[in-house]
Amino acid sequence: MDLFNKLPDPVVSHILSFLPTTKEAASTSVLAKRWRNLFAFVPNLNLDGDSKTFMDFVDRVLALQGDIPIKEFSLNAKTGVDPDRVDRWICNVLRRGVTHLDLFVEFDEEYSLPYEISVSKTLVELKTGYGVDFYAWDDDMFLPNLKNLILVSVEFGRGQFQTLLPACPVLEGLMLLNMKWRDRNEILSSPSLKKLKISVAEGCIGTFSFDTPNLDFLDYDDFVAEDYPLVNMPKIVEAGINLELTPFRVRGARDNLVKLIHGIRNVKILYLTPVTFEILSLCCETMPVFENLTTLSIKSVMIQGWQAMPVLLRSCPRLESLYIGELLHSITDACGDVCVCLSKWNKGLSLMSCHVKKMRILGFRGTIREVHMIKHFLDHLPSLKEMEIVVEENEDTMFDIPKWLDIVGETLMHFNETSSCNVIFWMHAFLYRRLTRKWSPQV
Amino acid sequence: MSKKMIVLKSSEGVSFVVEEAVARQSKIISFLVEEFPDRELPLTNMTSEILRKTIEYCKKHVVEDDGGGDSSSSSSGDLKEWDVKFVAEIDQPRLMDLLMAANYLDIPSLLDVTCQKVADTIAACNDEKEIRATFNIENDFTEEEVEAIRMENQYPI
Repeated sequence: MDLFNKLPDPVVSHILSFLPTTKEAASTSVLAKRWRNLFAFVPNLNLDGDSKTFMDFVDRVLALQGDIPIKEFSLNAKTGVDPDRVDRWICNVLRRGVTHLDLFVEFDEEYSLPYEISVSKTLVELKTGYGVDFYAWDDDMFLPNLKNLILVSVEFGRGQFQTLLPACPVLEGLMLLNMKWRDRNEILSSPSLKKLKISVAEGCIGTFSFDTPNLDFLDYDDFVAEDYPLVNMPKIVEAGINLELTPFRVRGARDNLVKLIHGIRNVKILYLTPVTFEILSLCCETMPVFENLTTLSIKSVMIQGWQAMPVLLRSCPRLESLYIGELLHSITDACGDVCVCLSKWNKGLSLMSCHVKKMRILGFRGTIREVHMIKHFLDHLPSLKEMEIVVEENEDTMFDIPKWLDIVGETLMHFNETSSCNVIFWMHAFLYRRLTRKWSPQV
Repeated sequence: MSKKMIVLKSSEGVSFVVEEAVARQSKIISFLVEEFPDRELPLTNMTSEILRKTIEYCKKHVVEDDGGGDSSSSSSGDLKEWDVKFVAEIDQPRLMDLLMAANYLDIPSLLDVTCQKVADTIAACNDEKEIRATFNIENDFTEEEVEAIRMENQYPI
């Protein structure tokens, strides 16, 4: 017996709405007469194409749907698709109360997003980017239900970004990827915003202000701005910062960076990239106290120094977990008392007052210097309960030398036995197999 | 305080005693319980086997309100994994019955889980012949009709 016999048509359509694309759903229309148009009665359309038959297909699906409400409309149209038809499709789904729009077009010319999107009362999420612009949008834009906005490589006109955010009164998530800033003084202001991610193609032209009183998550990847006149994010919980410095902004960079860092000082979890960590050394004298910070992750790399490490650790009185991307770093005269680079009388002093319970070291290459650093941490961090050491996977390591793994492994085992801290040393299974096979006499 | 129980009766007349909170995940049962309190609820279109499966699902997904706010019996990641295993163990005809039960009783999460599984099965088929064979669908089109529809729906990407 036909297993679908007992199911009513709307339930079969509901099943088809779980297929990844509308094209796949449409492939069921040849099964039997009953299936002819069932694929069209779904609340979500996911369309991808570039030809005349594609356009006719979309027209036909939308005609079949008539006026039934629609939730999601996802379109990836390439050169060959008529922009006027795209306009019509978008207006069609907007009229029917679409809540999620996902629009990516790859035309030879820029595609202007239709004005109708900018005044949608139903739209909850808008994802768009690459070859689109907002030139058809006007000052009366208003998106009263928009919660999530994701823009990838979008071209704004001058001043347009400043009018966009006030038009989204309930916006909670904003992602600006590969952003090109157009205004001299960018102000990102949104009382409702909770999550913000920024990455840039070109750094901002002038100053940058954050007026986001309810922001709890920030992922900020940009060049240090000319100034940060306002950094208002008192409720920030988690932040990832990747900031680079352009040569012509070195002057004054310290004061600007200090403003930004002070602005995020309420974080509980902080991720820093190597460059950010290095330029933080500019703020050593004015580092704020991170009262709430419990988890700090620093992706350090070999060519950079650890000048900021001592002051950073001293500024995090509640730090519990410390993750370090790599122990090896450039030896600088400002290396401080955290590492073993210089013989100073006060070696380890900053560590003594640090309450870190858990440490994870990634990218371990098995050098003697790293082993010394590990011993140094074990000796000087009074509250350390767990130290996890993970072997580097992609770069060359000392473990390529026969027997080196055994020697280092035994040393770390010895550390585990002689300290009150649990030392865990591990590597991915494939790496272990590769290293052990290499040394074993039988292949 | 003892938990309130209700009785559901399958098409074979077998009674199942279920905690009210568990059964209330069905919007229909939720409605019936309020309209006809303290009565056995007959589910004449559901076999004992399918009813037992449905209750098993609802028990796993019940959100216990024990005064300390919402506390589900499992984390959402574990639940998802459990769901996948739950539908993987059922054969195709019974899966369709369970899907119908979820639709009839109005249990949206169970309906979605079962629909997803059927959709995955359709997607895993190589062509329409395989879909027809898997679900026993009779083809009432002529060759020419199939060809015409295919032309309509298929476009290069």
